[in-house]
Amino acid sequence: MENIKIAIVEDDPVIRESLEQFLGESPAFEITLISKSMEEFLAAVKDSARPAINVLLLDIGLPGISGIQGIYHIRQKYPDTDIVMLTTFEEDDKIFDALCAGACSYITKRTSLVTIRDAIFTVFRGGSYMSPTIARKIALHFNPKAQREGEVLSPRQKEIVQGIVDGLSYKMIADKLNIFLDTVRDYIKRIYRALEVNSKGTGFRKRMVCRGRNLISGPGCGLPMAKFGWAAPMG
Amino acid sequence: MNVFHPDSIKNQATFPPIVFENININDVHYPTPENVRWMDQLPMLHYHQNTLSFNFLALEYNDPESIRFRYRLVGQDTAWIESKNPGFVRFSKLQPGAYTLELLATNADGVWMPEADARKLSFYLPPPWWRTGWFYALCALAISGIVYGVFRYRLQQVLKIERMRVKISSDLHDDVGTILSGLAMQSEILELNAEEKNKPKLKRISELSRTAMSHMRDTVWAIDARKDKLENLLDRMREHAEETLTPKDIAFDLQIDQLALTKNMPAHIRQNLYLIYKEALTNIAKHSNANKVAVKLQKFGSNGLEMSIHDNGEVKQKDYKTTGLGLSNMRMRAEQIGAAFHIDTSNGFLIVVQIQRFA
Repeated sequence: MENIKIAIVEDDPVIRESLEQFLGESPAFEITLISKSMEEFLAAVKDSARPAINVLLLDIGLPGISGIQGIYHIRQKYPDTDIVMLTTFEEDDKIFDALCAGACSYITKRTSLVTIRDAIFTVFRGGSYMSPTIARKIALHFNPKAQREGEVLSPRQKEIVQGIVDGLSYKMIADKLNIFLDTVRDYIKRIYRALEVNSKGTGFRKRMVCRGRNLISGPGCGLPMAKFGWAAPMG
Repeated sequence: MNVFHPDSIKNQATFPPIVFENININDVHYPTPENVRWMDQLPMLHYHQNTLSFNFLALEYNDPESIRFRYRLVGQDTAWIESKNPGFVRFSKLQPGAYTLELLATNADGVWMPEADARKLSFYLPPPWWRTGWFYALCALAISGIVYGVFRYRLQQVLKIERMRVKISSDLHDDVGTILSGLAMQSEILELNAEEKNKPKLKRISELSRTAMSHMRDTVWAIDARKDKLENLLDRMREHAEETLTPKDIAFDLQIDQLALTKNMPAHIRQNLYLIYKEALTNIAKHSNANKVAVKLQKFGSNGLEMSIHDNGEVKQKDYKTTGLGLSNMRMRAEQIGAAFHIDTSNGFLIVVQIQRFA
């Protein structure tokens, strides 16, 4: 089996080293890049001969360019990489923003390394995870009353979101909808993708810029990259 | 032939002119800028020049004794007061205001001059500076300024405390949370490569540091001023249900009835309600064979809140006896926030907490 190529962006040395050591010992993984900050990561991947990355573990609260702000730039270079946000605690608003920006899953650093490893497998296989709080935010985002332009959720996707909102476990949702457990996880990942596409509609982008967060600083949205100080070659 | 009508002579309507002879202010001669006799208006006085006396006289030379006077001070009296010729009147301690002294006289025949022809002298007594509108306005401004200042100061203090709360909570979250995560991860790695006999100990370290994180999180959440609302409590409750119930395949249903989600809750009520809830859920996850939990928050009385946690399982008698299920703990927490605490085990396990006033 081909091993999964992993990159880690995490500022805390103990956590970074723990992840590196634990994941590095597993033959299923190959760690291709480790960075202390978003700036360091972007400097390392600016050449065309950049390392391959299947799954990126990205700390949500980095100093300098935050993980959320970094997602857009990562997606430019790595459109197919799965971005998993690492959170200290479940900061729902930040997690939701990261998912809108293009992350496809999230996991708290409070869980065991084994759980983190399993999450990477899940994501690599095309699945994801969703908590009831995030499910509620997603349900609200795709609410027919607040319907934005762009992609909408399929009836099946809506059923899954509603199931999570209602406090059902994935197993119960799978039983209820007569599908496999892994299929539920696959649907969740696709829901996040729909969320990202939907969020790139003008309405959402405008909203984010108004909020001064500038999460999606694409062309026309205009956050000069030099502002963050990493456009110039890193000394 | 000459006809003589004595009546027409006697009742002729001519009147002697009335003149002022002297004006005293505060019982001291007041030197008027022009001839006092014919003045009809005094220059602006000072607020303390409030005792005025006037000597006046009707210029009647045939029979001065027969002249009578009436005077009134418009601005103070409305009634006419009689006086002899020459006349004298003194007004003491007049209040600030505009006054007109009006004088009427008879002629030698005893006929009163019409009121329209009254001899008038007006003067204005200004209020002292501390009784002017400006001064009142200034006072009002100063008082409201002080009140505003005090208010601002107190607001600043409250904000300062709130900012401190937010800072403590986010610092604890970020710094200590990260350290504890690192600790848990490190001991987990050690555990993998450790000798068999040390593995449980290292596993214990990771568990302990994760428990510490969880406890710290609860405390930090309780003091976090940004999380003062009912909806924050609900978020936290949902999150905890997911952590404890989902792995056990226990379905969870949270219902809110007639409560405003954005209502502020005092920190200790929010915290104790959450801890009761948490204890109850831990019980269900650990000791019950339930597969469904219904949590309901609803209005209680006019301004209260009722939380009920109801599962469909049965508690193993053994667990009930040995642990007491932390019921005394929950009861104590309910007492701390002045809430009633009920348990009903007739149909599943039902816990009800009722607060009369929660906000």
